[in-house]
Amino acid sequence: MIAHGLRGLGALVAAGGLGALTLRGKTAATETVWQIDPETCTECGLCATECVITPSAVKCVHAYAQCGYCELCFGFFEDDPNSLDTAAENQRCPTGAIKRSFVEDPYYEYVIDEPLCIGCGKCVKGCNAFGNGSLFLQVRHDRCLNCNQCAIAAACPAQAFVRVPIDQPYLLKGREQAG
Amino acid sequence: MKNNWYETAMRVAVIAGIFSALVLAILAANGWRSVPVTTLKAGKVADLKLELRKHPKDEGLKTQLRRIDLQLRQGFFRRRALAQDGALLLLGGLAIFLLAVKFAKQYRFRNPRPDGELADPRPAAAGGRYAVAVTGVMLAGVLTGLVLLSRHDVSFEYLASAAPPTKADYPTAEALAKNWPVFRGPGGCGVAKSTGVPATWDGKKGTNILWKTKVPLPGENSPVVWGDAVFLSGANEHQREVYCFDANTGKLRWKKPVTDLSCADKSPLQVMEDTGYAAPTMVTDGKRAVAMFANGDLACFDFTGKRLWAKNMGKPDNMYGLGSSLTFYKNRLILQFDQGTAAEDGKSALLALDMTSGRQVWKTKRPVPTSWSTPNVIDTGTRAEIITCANPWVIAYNPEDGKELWRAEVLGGDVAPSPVFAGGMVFAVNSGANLAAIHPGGTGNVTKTHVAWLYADDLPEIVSPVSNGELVYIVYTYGTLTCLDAKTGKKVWSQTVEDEFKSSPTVVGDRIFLMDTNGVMHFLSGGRAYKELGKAALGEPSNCSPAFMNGRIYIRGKYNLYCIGKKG
Amino acid sequence: MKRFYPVYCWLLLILPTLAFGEERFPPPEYESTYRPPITQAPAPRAEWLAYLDIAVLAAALALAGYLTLKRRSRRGVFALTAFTIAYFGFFRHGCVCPVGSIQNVALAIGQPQYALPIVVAAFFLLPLVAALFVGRAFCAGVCPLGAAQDVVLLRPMKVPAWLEQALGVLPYIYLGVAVLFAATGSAFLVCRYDPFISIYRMSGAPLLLTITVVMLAIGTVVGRPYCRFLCPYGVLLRWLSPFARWRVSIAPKQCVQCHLCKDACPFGAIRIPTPAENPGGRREGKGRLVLYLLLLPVFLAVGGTLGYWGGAVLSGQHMTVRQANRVWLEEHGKVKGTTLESDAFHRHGQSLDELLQAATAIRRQFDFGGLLLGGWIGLVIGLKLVFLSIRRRRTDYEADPAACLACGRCYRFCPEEHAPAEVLEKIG
Repeated sequence: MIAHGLRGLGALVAAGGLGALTLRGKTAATETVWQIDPETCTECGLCATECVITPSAVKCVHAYAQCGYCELCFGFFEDDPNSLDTAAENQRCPTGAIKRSFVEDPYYEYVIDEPLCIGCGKCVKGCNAFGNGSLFLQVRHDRCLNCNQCAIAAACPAQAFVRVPIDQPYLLKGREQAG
Repeated sequence: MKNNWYETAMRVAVIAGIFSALVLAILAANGWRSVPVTTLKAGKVADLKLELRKHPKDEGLKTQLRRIDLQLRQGFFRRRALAQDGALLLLGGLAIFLLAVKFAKQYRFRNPRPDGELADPRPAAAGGRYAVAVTGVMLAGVLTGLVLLSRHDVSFEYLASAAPPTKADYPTAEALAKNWPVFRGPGGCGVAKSTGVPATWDGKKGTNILWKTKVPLPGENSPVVWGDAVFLSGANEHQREVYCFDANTGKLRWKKPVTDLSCADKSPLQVMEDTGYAAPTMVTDGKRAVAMFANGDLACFDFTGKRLWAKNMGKPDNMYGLGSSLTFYKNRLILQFDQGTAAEDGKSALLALDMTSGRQVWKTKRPVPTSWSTPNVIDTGTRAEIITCANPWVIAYNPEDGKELWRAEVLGGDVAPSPVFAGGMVFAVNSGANLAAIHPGGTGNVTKTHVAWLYADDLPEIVSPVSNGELVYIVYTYGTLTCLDAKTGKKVWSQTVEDEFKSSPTVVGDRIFLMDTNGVMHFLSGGRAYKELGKAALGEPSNCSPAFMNGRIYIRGKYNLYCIGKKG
Repeated sequence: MKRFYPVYCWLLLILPTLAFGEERFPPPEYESTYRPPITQAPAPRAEWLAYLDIAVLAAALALAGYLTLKRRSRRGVFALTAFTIAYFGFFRHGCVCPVGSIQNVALAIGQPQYALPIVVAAFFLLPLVAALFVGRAFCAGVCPLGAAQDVVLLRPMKVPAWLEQALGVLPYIYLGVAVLFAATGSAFLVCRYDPFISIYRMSGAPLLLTITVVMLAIGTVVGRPYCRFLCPYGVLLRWLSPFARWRVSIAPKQCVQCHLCKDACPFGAIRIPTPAENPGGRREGKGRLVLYLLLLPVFLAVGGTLGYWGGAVLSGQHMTVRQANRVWLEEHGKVKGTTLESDAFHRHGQSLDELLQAATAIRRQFDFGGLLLGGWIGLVIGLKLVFLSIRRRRTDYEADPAACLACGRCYRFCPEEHAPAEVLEKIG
């Protein structure tokens, strides 16, 4: 009988102790998921290779509200492109995942084809360096396995990966947040 | 019958096993040949691109490039699909293999054949002990290996310098009081204890001018003095220098450049002309002199001119240019580094650096935008507080650890005037907001509890106030001088003069010394009625605040440093 | 107006810019009816499903205990194992699991800003609570790592007793090291080197895949190598399982020392009876026991000292320390070139002071943590030697309460299992 009581008591004490560890700060007690802080990311390219699944759960995301819709898009085109069209020699993206289409003079729309994107961040680098910074990398939660220890987070040289609460799983840039 | 099942199961197992092994081999080969993402654009494609740059119009080259690029990309995705499909097949094959083997095993269950002998447990236990002991020795070896590797670990290099200095290496209160170590003198409140300053002087004629020396580069910083050394800094867009003048002869003992400090942001610096590139006044603690410049360069020299340490604090996000002067507490340099156009930018901070090494001791973020006010370290009698002014808070911090003590919401706008402490009260002011008298020593938000009084007319936007404990003086840039009762906040007198003022006033005995922008010093009576007792002209314009020491006044004009004192 | 800036482009290339995306181009003003699309943000798995996982875990633990102890059904446990592989393995991709949750708890203790999620806390606690009641039923059919090893076991061989003892030290070491690195926020080693996770993710880095293949290959002939010789969670279960309310017993009612189950356990968890006479006498054993008890503080001290002095090199596992070391070396001209980490540091414009202060704080944590780890290792070795010097008298064939994984393979070896009810009543 006493043994029973001790077992129960031990379980309760342990539960209480763990409970104390759950109640802290912003992400208190909720499930957390991984996300990239776009202000900290340095577009090193490890997101494409370190993710435990292939293709990587990190994709480039476009904040259209912040995009300048430039004809010479620094995220789409390589440095000093041969011509301003979608020919292979002009594109920065190694898998051709950015689709360029004419909207009206002088604006062009740039949309990311997610299945093709590998999350290498080359377009992000170009857009941050010379453009509006409307392209940025984000963990896509329809693909991410939400590993206990994100392998990319462990490798990120800028320590740009953070745990965010599951009800606010994205850290989006832009003048307006996405729907 | 059973044999048939067994054989069937084993056959299935063999087929599944071979299948799995084949898939594994294919997957391994696929993985081996997989092109890493980077080579999609490197290698052959990169070479062709270089060629293309030399012959931009070559269509044949373009076609070739496009073909190879397409092949590479298709190959990349094909291999990826193969890996994924192959993994599923491998899993399926292994599952069938395992199930078949397990199914077959039940037909080959070997009955146990025990021999009934119970072994003596001691040899087994002894063997176990030896094995554990050997393991223990091996682990000790591993740990020792870690120790040996750790001896040369880089981290020890910077760990050592993180230790605080063992000996207190800072001036005593008496030494501080005898010199003019910071902006507006010991205590930072513009009260000069020096006696015997001349009643008048004339810069052009040379009356009571002991010496006058040209300062090589311009700057809005005021002189600081320790012993017989006077320190100034000067800078323009490209050069930054620190100067040491002999207080007796005026000779420039040394001038040292401040360059080569790494800064991540190499873009050109823009400052307002009025602020200049060397607005912060230096500090000196008797052994060292520290200067700060508008681009974030911070440099410390000893009295012989040897540079002890220097670092760049980062280019300030400050639209008018860095204006806050330095101050110090014991052996800690205090720097109010406010930046950003809004408090939400989160860039502003108060920092304490070790004077001997420049290492950061603490840094506290501040919820304010840019400010140009200088922090003031005061002694309330029970504790020391660092008083800072910005929009909208006056915040007091503990100088030991940088933790916030109290704050009062009494200011607004672009805060440039610095706070003073006299008669047990802190006076903080900015144009467009208030002149506030606050009792220090509180905790938390003291706006409702510790603010003694507020006054709102003719407030200064640049000039800091001064007080002798009974009366408080504020100076509006365009000539309005106001004197208030320090205890009640009631106006005692107010007077408008025709001159402009940017330099802060000083209490010298029973007089107030206030210099206008033309370099003319006004002597005012310290009594309860406005009375101008006289004027003395420097001979050139000046915006700096004077330093008083040993009966002499050191004033920096636009071009020269003057030493005023009784001749003979 | 065409937005084509050939000259300005080159200027922008020359002028270094803050590369964090300032808005250089104003928002477009469209003349047509075009509206920019909305950035998609697909939601993660619903949170309540994670709580459902807790319920499934609890149910599986209860079922495992029932199948092992009440029904004594090996088939049932195997079926549960298959369910675990399907649900906790492939469906949930083997994450989060109780084995890894130790690290989250350690991180929550070591870093005050980390809040332990409820689901992880539950995954940590439930199998331990279950162990207090039904022993290591978790290991039997609910752990996805154990399940993977269980199904590939084809021809188990007996591990010699001395080797088993020596390898049995490793889980304690692994636990200590994993806790140290987790509590300092450096790395989750258990997750990083999990040998079976690549099966459930169906992908992995070449090194990890190789480890998986090797572990599975070993697992075909050595029973559950990870569970017995590496699993850190098993250490906690070993401590709690002897206090379980209901224990695995090989004989359903009463052991008759028929010796048929002697080699029944593929995991070496059966304790065999000791011979009737007490060979060697009592004094010999006692002297040794006292010696090892006296040596215990010596082991602790030696281990602790070595661990304290060895903490520095371990601290390099922490990203901040690694970054600080690299930047310090570069600033002092001891290395050429930059790494991604030092580039990131320079780009953020952080002060070196702050970085070195942060790294110093972590290094101090590693000094203390190293001391604890070294002391822990010394304690483990010392205690193992002590326990190996204690002699126990046993008459029956028993399942070692700490080591038994409750798989139920031994039941079929016992004749009582197959005896008719009347015979059983006569015995019991």
